[in-house]
Amino acid sequence: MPYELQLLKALKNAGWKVKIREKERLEDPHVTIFKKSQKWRLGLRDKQFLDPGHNWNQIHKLVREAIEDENNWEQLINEWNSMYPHNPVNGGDDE
Amino acid sequence: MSKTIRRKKTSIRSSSGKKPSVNRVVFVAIQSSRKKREAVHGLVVCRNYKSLLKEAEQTNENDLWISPSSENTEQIAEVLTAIQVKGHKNTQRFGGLVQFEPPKPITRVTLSSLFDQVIGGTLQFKFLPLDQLIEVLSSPMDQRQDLFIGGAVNKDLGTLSLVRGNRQWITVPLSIFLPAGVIKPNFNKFSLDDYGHTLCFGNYESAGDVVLWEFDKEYRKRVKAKERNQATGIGASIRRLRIQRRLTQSDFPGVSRKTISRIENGEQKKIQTSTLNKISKILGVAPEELDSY
Repeated sequence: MPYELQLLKALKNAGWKVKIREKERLEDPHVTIFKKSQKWRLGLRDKQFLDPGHNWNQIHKLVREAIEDENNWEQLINEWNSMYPHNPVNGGDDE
Repeated sequence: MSKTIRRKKTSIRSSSGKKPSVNRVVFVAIQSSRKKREAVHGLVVCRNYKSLLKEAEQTNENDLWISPSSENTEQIAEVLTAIQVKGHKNTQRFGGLVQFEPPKPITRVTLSSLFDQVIGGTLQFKFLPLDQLIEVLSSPMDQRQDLFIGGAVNKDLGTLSLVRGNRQWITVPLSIFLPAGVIKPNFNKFSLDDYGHTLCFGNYESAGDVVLWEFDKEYRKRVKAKERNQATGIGASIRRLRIQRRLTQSDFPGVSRKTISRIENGEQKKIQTSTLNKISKILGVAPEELDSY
């Protein structure tokens, strides 16, 4: 099952989702934020958006709060690491 | 039953040699028990036979028809065939058809003669949930071209064939969907979600852009170009300015092409003041303003 962060019902009804799926474009470990047909990828190593032009101003405040909640953030990292043990969040890269 | 017909011409340019740009999306929902659909930009809804006739008379090869049921498909085929035959437009084609349910076998032939492209219509073919599909197909081309609206698994051939929001096809091997820990893809339970961003195989989900990244060279080029255009830092600024001035990397006397390339790609972190001065002189900006572009 993909890991999906629990959000308030009102946010879900508005089309917001936060997920880590079983097959992602790997590069930097990340979580994907959805609002209907839009998506943002947020790096789990540095909390920076992976794609140019994306920023927190585009994300609902309550979605951001849920993601940045300490327990939730740790859970997101743990979920990524369990799904992608060969590319863990704290593993760094080969540079 | 009140009619909900909104028609707005949505002119969307398409790249040459590809599928024609979609002019309208016509959703046929006659006798549908679904709640009245909210008006969506670019979407025409036919809730009765009269409105279907009206839209059919105005349709052309750029429209995309959506039929949620086999009954609606039969009605579309009947109306458009009448236009072809009685209207003496025997060679006219009517764009694309998205059909959620299989039509009668004999109707398949008729549909092939009516439409440039018929998508779906088999039990194996899966679409996005209808609300998501309509939203994707009604969105601008630059958004929907990278979203998947439907597809089918062929286990005999070991492939997944997908249709994008711009109605282009892409076929990929099932072998790319590797197990993630104990979670394995169930290819008997294929579906799509997240407005075309996610491919689902039972409990296993894959990002749609993984498929695009690995198998569509044009997609990779577009993504890379966008990243370069929006990259920050002095190297990216120099590159943007150079291109704007219509210069090549070799047009900087006293600075090698290789050095310009390394600076633009961010591979050279420390740039000598003399080099920066030479570059800024050619670009016609003050050195201290270079990274503001």
